[in-house]
Order: sequence, then C-alpha cells, then structure tokens
Amino acid sequence: MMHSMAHKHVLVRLTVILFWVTVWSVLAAYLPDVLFAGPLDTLRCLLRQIQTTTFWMSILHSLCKITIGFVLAFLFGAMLAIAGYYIRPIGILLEPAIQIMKTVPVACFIVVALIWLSSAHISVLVAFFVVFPAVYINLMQGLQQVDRSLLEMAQVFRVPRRKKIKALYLPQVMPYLLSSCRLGVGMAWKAGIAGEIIGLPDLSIGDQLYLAKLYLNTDELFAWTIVIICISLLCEKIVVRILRSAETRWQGGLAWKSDLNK
Amino acid sequence: MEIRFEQVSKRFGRKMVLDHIDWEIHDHEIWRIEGASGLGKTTLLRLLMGLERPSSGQIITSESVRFAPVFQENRLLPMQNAIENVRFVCDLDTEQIRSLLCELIAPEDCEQPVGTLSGGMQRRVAIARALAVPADILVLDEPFTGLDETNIARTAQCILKHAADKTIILSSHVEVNVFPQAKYLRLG
Repeated sequence: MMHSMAHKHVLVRLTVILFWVTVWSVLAAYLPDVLFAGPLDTLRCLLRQIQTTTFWMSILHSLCKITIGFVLAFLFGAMLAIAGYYIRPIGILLEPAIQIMKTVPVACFIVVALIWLSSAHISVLVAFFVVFPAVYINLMQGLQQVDRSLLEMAQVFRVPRRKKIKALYLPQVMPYLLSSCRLGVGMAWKAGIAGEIIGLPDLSIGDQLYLAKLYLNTDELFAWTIVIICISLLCEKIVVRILRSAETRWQGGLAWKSDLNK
Repeated sequence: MEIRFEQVSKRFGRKMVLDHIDWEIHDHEIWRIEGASGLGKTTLLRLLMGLERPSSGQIITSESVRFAPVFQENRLLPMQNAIENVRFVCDLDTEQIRSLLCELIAPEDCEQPVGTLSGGMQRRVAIARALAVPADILVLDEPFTGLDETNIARTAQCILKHAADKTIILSSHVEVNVFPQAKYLRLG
C-alpha cells in the first residue's frame, strides 16, 4: 500500500515536471533564441559547463561563502534570540535592529557591503544579513510559544534545565527553527548570488551569470539558474536533515526517556 | 519545617483577593482550605509555592522547602505517556513509576499519550506525578475534579499512603471528608 502510494507520488511529480518542461519548450519555440533558450539548448550548455574547471570552481566559491554567511547568521541569530528571550532588555534593545535588517532591501545591504568589504566576501555578509533576522524572529516566536503553565510546573518540581530544554522547549521551537532554515537557505542563495552579480568576485556563480548576461548567452544563464536551484534545494535538504538528526539524537539522549525503552 | 504567613494580602489591580491572612504550617500537618469559588484558594497556594508575591505582609519560609503540586489544571505533557510525565519530574525507575501509576489508573493506560486519556485519568496521572517526587509539602488544588466517589476514595487512600511523611495542603470544593484529621483554613 505504502509502496504504491510512493509510486503515485513520484508519478505525479514527474508529470508536473514534464508539464512545465513542455511549457518551456513551447515558449522557446516561439521566442528568439537570444532571449529565451529552450530546455535542450540549456541541457547541452549545462553538459558543456560541467566539463570545465571554472564551473566547479565557481560553485565551490559561492557555496563556501554563502554557507559561511548562513552558518554565522544561524549561530548568531539563535544565540541572540535565546539571550533576548531570557534577558528582556537584550530583546528590547535588539528589536529595532532586527526590524531594520528585516525591511532594508537586499540591494542596500549589497551596496553597503561593497563599501565595507572586498567583493570577494560580499556573499558572506549579504547571506548573513538576510538570514539573521529570519532565524532570530522565528526562534523568538517559537520560544514565546512555549507553554508558560508547563514552565511553571517544571519550576515548582525543580526539573533540571536539561530536561526542560528537551521536553518543553525543543518540541516547541524545532518547527520554527526548521521553517527558518528552509526559508533562510533559499534567501541566502538568492541574496548571495545577487550580491555576487553586483560585486563580481572572481570565479563565482554571480560572476558567471553576469558574463552570460553580458554576452547574451541565455542558455548559459538558464543553465546556471538550474544549478542554483539544485544547489539551494540540496542545501535545504542537508540543513533540515542535520537539524532533524540533531533533534533525534537530543531526544534519544533523554535519560528519563531512554530508560523507558529498557 | 515551618512556613508562616504574616498579614499576607494579595490584590490584582483593584481587586483584593486575599486580605491579611495569618497562617502557620508545620511538618506532617494536613490542611484543608475552604472557601467559595473566587475567594483566593488558588492564589493562596500560588503564594505558598512562591509563584506569586504578596502585595503586603510576608511569608517566612525556607528555600529548601520542596513542593509537590497538583495544579488546578493538570499541566501534563500531552504527547508523552503517563510514565514519561512522571519521569519528567523525578528520578524513579520505570517499574517504580508504573507501580505507583497502577494504583490510580489501569496498566494499559500508562503507555498512552496522556492527551488521549479522559479528564479523570489525566487528573490521577497528575496526582501520581506529585506523589512520585521527594517533597516536604504536597499541594493539592482541587485534586478530585472529574473523579467519581469511588475514585475519590481510592485516590485519597493512595495520597495518604504515599504522602504519610509530608505536609498536605488541600483546596477542594468536594464535600466528601477525605482527610478527617485535616485542619481548616477558611477564606472569605
């Protein structure tokens, strides 16, 4: 039963992909090549690119920088959200900064980042600035949703902090953390690549996209776009998996829970 | 152990909930707090456990006094079963917890997420949780809510058995005199 359901699910997804590739082909047939490359041209270009060192170097460069920006934003966002939740003045102090970071357009970050840093590090800063408020806001929201009456119960029973985190905070906060990561990975890639297109650091995806646009190589532009989507989705899956396994290990490590499995 | 309330008052905004209460609690006493609904029974228990501060007067107690509460609401972890809920607050092993729980609920209900149990059964899990911890004072706020007469008697027996060495403070609307030796504190 489960097997056939999975088959059905895959079939539906393939059908959806096929539908959109057909739409893409039809559009490409009616539009000039220089403006809109078709799926076959894009695929041919992608296969050609894969064989070059520049392709892999550009991916590696952008991947490293955006990942560093994302990880730093995640760590700082999580730490400051926890600090702001427990120490109210910190939360109040950070509130305007978070609001500003949330509302300032990405292009402004990029321009400011170009003044502060060399273009080689632009995607780190841009990814950081975009992901940080998302992690902070989501985690803060998750922490605020923790049931106060249960916290009070734990306080009177003098439940150790470790148990409280595992049983009260983690189940409540995890969905918010996962959603901020899902959102954050996509945002980091979008903003990071936008930063690279403006800053043009050597051997980066943004640089390659800029060159493709400059020479009107639409097939290359589309091929790089597909690469970005694939990497972004892959990164999202990896981050979610890491968080899920951390959650399982964390929950599995519960002394008071694991004892039940004896 | 001794806890002393000296002229303790508590007001919420303009509403005076408790007015100049004097009360002394000693080891192994059983207290029953009486008063109509809204007269501050729960507030008094919250003051006792340090969850509220008095508006005036003082409560003389020691940091080392440990409370085992049964709150007016059950305050259980709904996704976890009865054993896990008890295990959350104490260090007893699974078999000890199971044997305590089985005095109040059926063995097969111990493994169910408590969110799926009836209100009465959840109440008994909350009572078992309070009985499982090493404490000086057992605080019972309307512990018999949702229980029928048979279960009230059974639960009261279980409380007396496991809390023999503790001070018991009970606030209850139920007229059944479950603790005949109790002292009375009347509010209002």
